[in-house]
Amino acid sequence: MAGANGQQTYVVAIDIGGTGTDCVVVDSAGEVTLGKAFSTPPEFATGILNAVASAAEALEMSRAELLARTSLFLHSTTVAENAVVDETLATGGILVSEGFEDTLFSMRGGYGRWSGLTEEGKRNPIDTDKPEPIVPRSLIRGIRGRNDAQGNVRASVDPEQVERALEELLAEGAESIGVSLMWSIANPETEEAVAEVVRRVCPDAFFSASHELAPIVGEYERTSTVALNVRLGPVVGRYLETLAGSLGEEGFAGVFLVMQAYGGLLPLDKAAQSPVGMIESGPVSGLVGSKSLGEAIGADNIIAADMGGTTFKVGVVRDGLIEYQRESMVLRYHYALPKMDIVSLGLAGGSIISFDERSGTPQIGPRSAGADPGPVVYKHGGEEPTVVDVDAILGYLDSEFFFGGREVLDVDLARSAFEQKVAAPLGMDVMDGAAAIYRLANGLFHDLLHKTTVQRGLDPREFTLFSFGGTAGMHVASYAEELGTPRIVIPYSASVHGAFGLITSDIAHEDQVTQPMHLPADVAEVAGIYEDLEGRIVDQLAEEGFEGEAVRLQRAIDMRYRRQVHILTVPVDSDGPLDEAALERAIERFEDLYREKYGEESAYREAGIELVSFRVRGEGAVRKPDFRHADAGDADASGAIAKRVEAWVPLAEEMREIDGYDFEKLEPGNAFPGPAIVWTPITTVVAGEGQQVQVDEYKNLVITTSVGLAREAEAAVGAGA
Amino acid sequence: MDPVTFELIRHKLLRVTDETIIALENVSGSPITNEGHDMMASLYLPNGDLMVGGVGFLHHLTSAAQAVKHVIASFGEDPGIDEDDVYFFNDSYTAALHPPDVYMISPIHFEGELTGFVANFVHVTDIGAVDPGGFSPNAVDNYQEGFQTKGLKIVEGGKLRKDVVETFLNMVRDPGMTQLDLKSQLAANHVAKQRMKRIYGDYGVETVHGVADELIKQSERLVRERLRELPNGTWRLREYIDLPDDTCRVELAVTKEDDTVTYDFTGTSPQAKLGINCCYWATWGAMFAPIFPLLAWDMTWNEGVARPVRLIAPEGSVVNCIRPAPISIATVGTVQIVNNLSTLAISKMFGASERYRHRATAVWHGSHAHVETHGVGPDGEFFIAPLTDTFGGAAGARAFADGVDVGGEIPNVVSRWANAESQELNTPLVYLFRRVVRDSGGPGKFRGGVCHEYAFTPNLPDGAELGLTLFGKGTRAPMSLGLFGGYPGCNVRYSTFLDSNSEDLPSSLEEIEAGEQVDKFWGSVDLRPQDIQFVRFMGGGGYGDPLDRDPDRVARDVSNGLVSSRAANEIYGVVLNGAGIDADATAAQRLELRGARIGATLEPAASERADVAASGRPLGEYLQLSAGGATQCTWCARELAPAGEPWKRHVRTLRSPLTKAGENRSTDEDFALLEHCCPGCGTLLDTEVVWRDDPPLDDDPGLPGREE
Repeated sequence: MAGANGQQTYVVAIDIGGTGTDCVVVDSAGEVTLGKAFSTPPEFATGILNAVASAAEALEMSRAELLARTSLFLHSTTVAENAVVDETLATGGILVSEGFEDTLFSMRGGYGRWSGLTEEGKRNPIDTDKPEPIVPRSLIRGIRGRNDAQGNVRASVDPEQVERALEELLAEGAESIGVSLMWSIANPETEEAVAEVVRRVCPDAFFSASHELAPIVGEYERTSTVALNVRLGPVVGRYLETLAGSLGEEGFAGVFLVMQAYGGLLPLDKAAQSPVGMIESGPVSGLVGSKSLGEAIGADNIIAADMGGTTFKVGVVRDGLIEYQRESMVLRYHYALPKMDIVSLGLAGGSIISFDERSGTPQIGPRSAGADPGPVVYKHGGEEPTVVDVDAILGYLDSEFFFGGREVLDVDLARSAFEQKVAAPLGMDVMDGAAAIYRLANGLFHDLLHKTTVQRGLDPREFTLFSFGGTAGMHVASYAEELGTPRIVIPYSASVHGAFGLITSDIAHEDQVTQPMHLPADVAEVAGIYEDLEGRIVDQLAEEGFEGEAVRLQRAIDMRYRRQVHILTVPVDSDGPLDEAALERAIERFEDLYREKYGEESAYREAGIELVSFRVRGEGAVRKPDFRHADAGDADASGAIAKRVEAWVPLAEEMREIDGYDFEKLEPGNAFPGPAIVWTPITTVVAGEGQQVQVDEYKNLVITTSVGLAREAEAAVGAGA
Repeated sequence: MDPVTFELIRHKLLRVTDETIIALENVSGSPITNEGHDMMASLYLPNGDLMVGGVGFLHHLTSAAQAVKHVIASFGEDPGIDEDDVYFFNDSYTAALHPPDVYMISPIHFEGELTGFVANFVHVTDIGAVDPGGFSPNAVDNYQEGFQTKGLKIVEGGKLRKDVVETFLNMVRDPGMTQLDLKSQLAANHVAKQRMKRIYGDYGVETVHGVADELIKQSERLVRERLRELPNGTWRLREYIDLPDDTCRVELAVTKEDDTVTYDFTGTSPQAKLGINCCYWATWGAMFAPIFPLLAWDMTWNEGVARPVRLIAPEGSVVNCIRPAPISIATVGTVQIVNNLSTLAISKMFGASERYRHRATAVWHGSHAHVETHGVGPDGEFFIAPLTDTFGGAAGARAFADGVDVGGEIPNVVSRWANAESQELNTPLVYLFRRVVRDSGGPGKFRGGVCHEYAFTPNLPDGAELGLTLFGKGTRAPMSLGLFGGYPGCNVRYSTFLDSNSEDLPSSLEEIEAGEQVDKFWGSVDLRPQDIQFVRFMGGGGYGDPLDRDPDRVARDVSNGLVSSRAANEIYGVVLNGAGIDADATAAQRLELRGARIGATLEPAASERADVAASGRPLGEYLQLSAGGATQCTWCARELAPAGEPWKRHVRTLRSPLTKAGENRSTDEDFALLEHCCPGCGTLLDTEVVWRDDPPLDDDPGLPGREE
């Protein structure tokens, strides 16, 4: 995509993490340049400009020059979740159907009290409480305006009553307004009538209507989404405005796109309308990156596990599609936007290991040493042994390679803390104790991962495990083996994974109509719904400069068996007008998916099938980078062996002297058997006995587990016969 | 057994129960299972002992153990328990709780050997009883309560027995949904079996059973240790079941001696004519449901927890009825009363311990005011649909905090209601409102959580009727009792408004206008489109003297609409001036109320808690036993009763209408609120609810054989 004057143009992606701001720049030829800077909260713009400057420097141009030649600026930011966590939200007022003013307060009964807790936490109700409602009762007004499930208006909106309610809310200090009326999703008439009054009474207030923002069945989650959105709106709006202003001053005149948790990019103004959609868009970028990488290396079933110091985040790509979750939480507040499904588990490298006197058993977590003070071995003042300390004791960490040798490691300190707090009370010596705890930790990681796969009805043996994060690589060999996963990939792009995902994302608009209908449905009516929806989206994309080949439309229908609660989103053939056959295929797909996800026995077909909502996702293809490192060369990896170290061998379950590889010296094509350690600048990877390691052309480390090797052998025999 | 392997396997066993529950939720699309979490899944040993209990309705953990034991004893030989068999079980007189709560019991075999069982339950859509849905208020004996089996092989060697399934489905009203319930149960057991086989394969049956045995021993040791930490004594409790033409008493004396505890229900009313009765194992399960999360929250829930506990339940009483007494309403009838009493008993024991007194709690969600609906839907098909409102709940106040508003219940730690929209998607009705109820939480130093009330009207074509099955308790008798001076939560109310303004969608009780109001809470109701059904639940019980409540909390409650300014003034003694508190007037009002309790004019000092040395032997919030065994008020230091004498006989006891506890309390004159007050300072030491001439209950703290 060269500029009009034939000059080179760039796509710039900025991903803000906790400490660092990553920048990835792609030119017209797909060439990639990286930049990095420290994040500068609360004025993130400075860090962003610094990261751009760092990339510009590598391109030998000025920051202003780069920005002036940037056609697309892609951004993912944590500003939304930060505002919730730091309690810097705006004051928002909410209008709901009369009689349902307590929906947010009630939080579906005990649900608000126990959801988000660990299984152990749920078992101890005395120590549980609900969070304060996201919008207090004093900022909620009940108004006339109520449909029934069929979309019949049963109580019409009274504009005068709305006006009075708005005036009260504004007087209470509301700077934004939300509306969430019963069954507005079945007939937007009621909320549209409210919107009209809002536009008249307070045209400058940030405003959200539930049927537009979160068109799902379920007034609690829908209202909660609106509540979060209106409290985020002014804060995120100011952030984006400031950033866009700074970029503009530097000469940027391209399109500014913001990453959404549904895994697509939205133009600035649209993103500002639904800031709740930005929550957790960072990890989602990572998942999109996994999907793109998977497409490149031929893995369309992926479990992406990102284990850092305090959390272990797991996302899933199935058949090249990312799983969506309907109900998400930020802190302990529910919201319901289509969001790529990422589970956060409270067990990770920084989890503290303790000895429980009462039961005489070792415990891992739930407390975490976090980043500060961190594990004992980092020597930042941590005194309680963590999973990472066990890794150090087992011989995996190496001072020379750890963070490029910039951090000092003190394994003796870790050893003595572990001995005193864990091994001695267990009556074990340090090494036996460390090996035992390593086994325990891997068992727990396995259990948590397995539970998340069961929840999604998938079989881990059919998946490739992508491993991200500083501490994941030292455990993945073991738990992947227990899961029966054939292949593990430690992506080369892991260090800029969020930005990588951002730059492989497309601009995406999602729109839907909720109009429950029973089968057999009127195909012409459904086709009409899609025609309207697609017309809107195509116009939208055209405005943003995407036309013809660059535009891709994807239809889906939310379906359910009548009288049952599960709703599934089912892809529908998207070429040309919808016909009988396409609808038929979608229904078959629904039945298959339902069985796959909820089990063979799960359907009550006799009750009939209902089509609940009709969705369209319109994508505008953004230029993709080429991340290929080099063609695969020689298998011999001996040149990359840095040293031999005494370390614990997973799966052989013994200490042994094994090879330690310097990742920087490995080349595509290199292959070597486990056990082995590979030190990369950002992580340490351990391959177990009987596993095979290979470096692919993207410089990803690929570990084939014993399960994978057995399958390969079987395939080879099969092919030979 | 090395402790690490032990911990590893323990973790895996717990996750098996989690995953089984997930499978149950996934396959069952039924709102009551999926949204209400009315379900359970647990693992059992080859002899039927509870190996690992999962979450869900906890009464079932131990009762299903009994069902497994029965299947082993009765069918082990004939027709045999073979690999991949599944038994269907729901006979309450043998083990279960009530007919619609169906246990599905699967043996787990590994390499041909029986290694244990997995069992789960859901409340199935219908069981073919006299009333649709499984709760049968119109049944007068057990034979009208539907299909009940002591064990029926529904799957044989992995093959579903079509003859059995069809026979069963032929007896129920909504066979499609009921069949789906059964399928979800089978699928869940399948998941558990697969996981257990993998664990047996990885670690060996012997090792896994070694861990299970050790876990049971560990839980037994831990629960015994905890019991030993609590003082010996006997605590007496009572609740009432207010049937249409009958009032039953459930009397409980809990005696803790050394490391054992005995629940003795001697004195409980004879079995009732209506289906609120508990069979023995229902009472057994009901007793344990609060023991797991309140006494054993931090240990594995298994047979070990049950071993130190003994139950005495008189035969022929509502807690151990004799066939053919009807039992279909047990789970929301006497089971719940036993839950409430067990909660209070544990709390009273905790109140007598310096170490655990902060964990005491008043009663949560005292009454399931449940509604089952049925009828012919717009599609012409017969449907049965329970409303999940009863899973809203309201938490009891705790020794350190208010009860959680609309906060659930103790025997099911993961309950929740379905959105009104989800209900309306599946049932032809329109919710008019779901509102929290002001003053519903029992007043106290810490307030009981508020409950909610709701109303709905049919959404059916002209002339079609929506059938309701009602079986309410708590319209006259408070069941969410307070603790250590806290008041009970409000009473339940059912009102049917006939020929109403339903067309206008009134959005609160006040807005409803009707030709006639019928407060029927038991039996069948046919609701027409011009009618409205209203239901109010029970707020949680309060903790401690309301005059001891921080006035700021009272003011906040008033501004949040959770407490009325009248209650603030009359019950809490807080005088508000606008949004603020008039401190002087409040002090005066509180002193006045204190004095009024004991008919005296008190010095202002009486409103301040004196610095009373702790003896180390507390009796709840405001009492302690002195070194010599006398009972002392810890507010003003006054000695109330000499050693060995029940303190209630030496204090000022007020008998008042229930309405003294706030709005929406029953006006039934047979019931009274007793307030036991310190004659020195007027502190409200304890409250009780009594029927007619029932005497106050005395505890025997420190007796018999207290360790010194």
